[in-house]
Amino acid sequence: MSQKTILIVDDSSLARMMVKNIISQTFSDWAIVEAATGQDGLSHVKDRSVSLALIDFNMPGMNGIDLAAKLMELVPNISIHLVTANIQETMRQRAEAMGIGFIKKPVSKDDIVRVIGALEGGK
Amino acid sequence: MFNEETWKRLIQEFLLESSESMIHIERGLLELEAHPENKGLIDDVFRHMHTMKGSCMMLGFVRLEELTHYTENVLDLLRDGEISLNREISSTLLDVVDSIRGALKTIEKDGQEGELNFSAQIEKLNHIQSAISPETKPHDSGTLDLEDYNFDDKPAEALNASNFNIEESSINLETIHLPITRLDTLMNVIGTIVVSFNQLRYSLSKNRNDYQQQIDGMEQQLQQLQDEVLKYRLQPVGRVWETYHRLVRELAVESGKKIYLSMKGEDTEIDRTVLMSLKSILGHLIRNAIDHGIEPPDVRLGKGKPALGKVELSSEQRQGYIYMDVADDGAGIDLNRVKLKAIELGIITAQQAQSIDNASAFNLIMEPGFSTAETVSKISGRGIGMDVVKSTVEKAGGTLSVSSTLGKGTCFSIRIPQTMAIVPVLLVCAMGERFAIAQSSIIELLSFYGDEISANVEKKMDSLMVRSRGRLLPLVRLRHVLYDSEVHDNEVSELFSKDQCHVVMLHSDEGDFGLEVESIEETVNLVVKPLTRMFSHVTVLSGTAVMPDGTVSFLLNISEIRRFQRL
Repeated sequence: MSQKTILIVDDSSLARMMVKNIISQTFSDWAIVEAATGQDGLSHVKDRSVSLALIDFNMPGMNGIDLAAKLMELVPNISIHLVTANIQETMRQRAEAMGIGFIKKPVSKDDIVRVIGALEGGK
Repeated sequence: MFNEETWKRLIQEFLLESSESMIHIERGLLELEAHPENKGLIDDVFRHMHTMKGSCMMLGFVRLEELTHYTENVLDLLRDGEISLNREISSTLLDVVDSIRGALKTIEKDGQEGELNFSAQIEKLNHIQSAISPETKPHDSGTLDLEDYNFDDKPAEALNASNFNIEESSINLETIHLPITRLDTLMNVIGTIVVSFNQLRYSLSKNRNDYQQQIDGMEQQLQQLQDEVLKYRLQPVGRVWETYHRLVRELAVESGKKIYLSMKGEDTEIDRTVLMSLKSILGHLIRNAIDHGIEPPDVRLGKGKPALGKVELSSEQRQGYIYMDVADDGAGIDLNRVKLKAIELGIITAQQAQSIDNASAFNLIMEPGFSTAETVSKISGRGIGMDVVKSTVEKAGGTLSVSSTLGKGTCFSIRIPQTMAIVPVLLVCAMGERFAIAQSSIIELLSFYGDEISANVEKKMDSLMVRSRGRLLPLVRLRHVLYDSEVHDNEVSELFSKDQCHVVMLHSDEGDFGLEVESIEETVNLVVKPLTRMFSHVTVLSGTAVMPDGTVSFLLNISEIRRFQRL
């Protein structure tokens, strides 16, 4: 069983740092890759298998929804959650149509346990 | 939650990132003062403030978070065009930037925000926000805090409509905002028209014969007035498209499919009347794409496609027309099934099915009563048929076509005039009545005299044909179309016995053809109005217009007339 990987995409380096810290506290066996933009995030899934992506919605260039669509195309079984502080109605509708989950900012340890726990339990 | 060392690093990262954000925001605001219309700039400023807010939430700087929250609200209003940047707003926002910088210094020194007080700034921000109408409060209608959600693994269930009430996002196409300068332009044009009119009245009252010049001038000015007014009626298509996200979400959740709706060319502008008439049509095409096109996720994966199905709306403007596509990457249309079904329904014969070309075969799905759906689902199938979609588009002066590749997807393309108003037409007489034909569909006019008629017109099978530039094309007589009658045996001899025969050669997506008329009259520009309800079932007519002599005539729907000649 190879090591599982989480992709964190957020243009805020502080937000990425925070989530990384929470994950490594509880799920130290998961590898973490980060990206500051959608374009950058896409380059990470080309050469490694990513099981979970936590994506910020508001980013320069590609937004979180468009990135999620591209990731789903490249990685058929990826689990995706939009990480967002407040959620616009349209964004919520689009994400639900695509079957994507939400995590409220600021991300808590409980959120991470819920999302990763579901993936580990499902294996 | 974290040990001291981790916490220190987080604070440092926060200070570094926030200082950078402030530089971006300040620069953006100053540039916006010079270019208030630059959407990219305001998006950029909003995003940085949003990041700042998120960071404060993470680290528990509640006072600073409150300030950034109110600032974000104001930026949101700017972004949506609810308010526009003026000196007051600009200086309030720049003042906020200074306050945040001060707060960052405090945090750097003490490691916490302490007793910072931003009530003065928040009051100003609130004042700006309350200046707009109460029903467009951000973060009440358009935005939901995720505070009260109970999550589980299925977001669609966790966030269903019972957890909160969502007002249907209303789009307001009933009012438009006009800058005063545009009204001034209008007033100037009207002024010149009044001057021309006075001159004309004077000339006519004095029986002078220089009125032609004034009439020509006035015609030009009216044209200018029309162009101005039509420009104000244009709306970006994105305003209607936005509302489809809700539809797509409901269809996706109901069918268990995963759908990504993407949009291209949302800024394309189109007359609001046309836009409103297209609203339900596009909705129906999206419904169709999700219902009959996009496969369930497991089927897609089995076919080697991504589980996520795509529906793409795109729009662009070319030469006075708007081209709009609704494309999906689903199963596509099985032409063999379409043909079998059409034979079953008696739309075509088995023999015709052999020779029919693909474009015509796709068009069969737009015949009344046609549906290839194997099951009539709850979502569509029993709604309006594709024939209604097609005729609605045509009533607005547009055309609808479909192309599809089996296994790859389907694309419906609409072409529609950008404004529904004044159409250059040719007036013709047929069956003793005057009709108008849009100039855009005319190829050429043919007149045959005496023996020329029998040399250029013939009967093949049960149809009349006309020779034009070496091609033999169907010849339609309006009588057949209006009364749905057959071509009589003596019809050809009757035509040949005439001393003259006039044919308008026409182009339609279904193919070129000739329309036989009694006489060809003048070309004029007409204001075309939609058909009244009394005539709305007559698909071969597409509108009415008041003639120069005050009578009313019908505009002919060329592609509908062509369809009567199934060849």
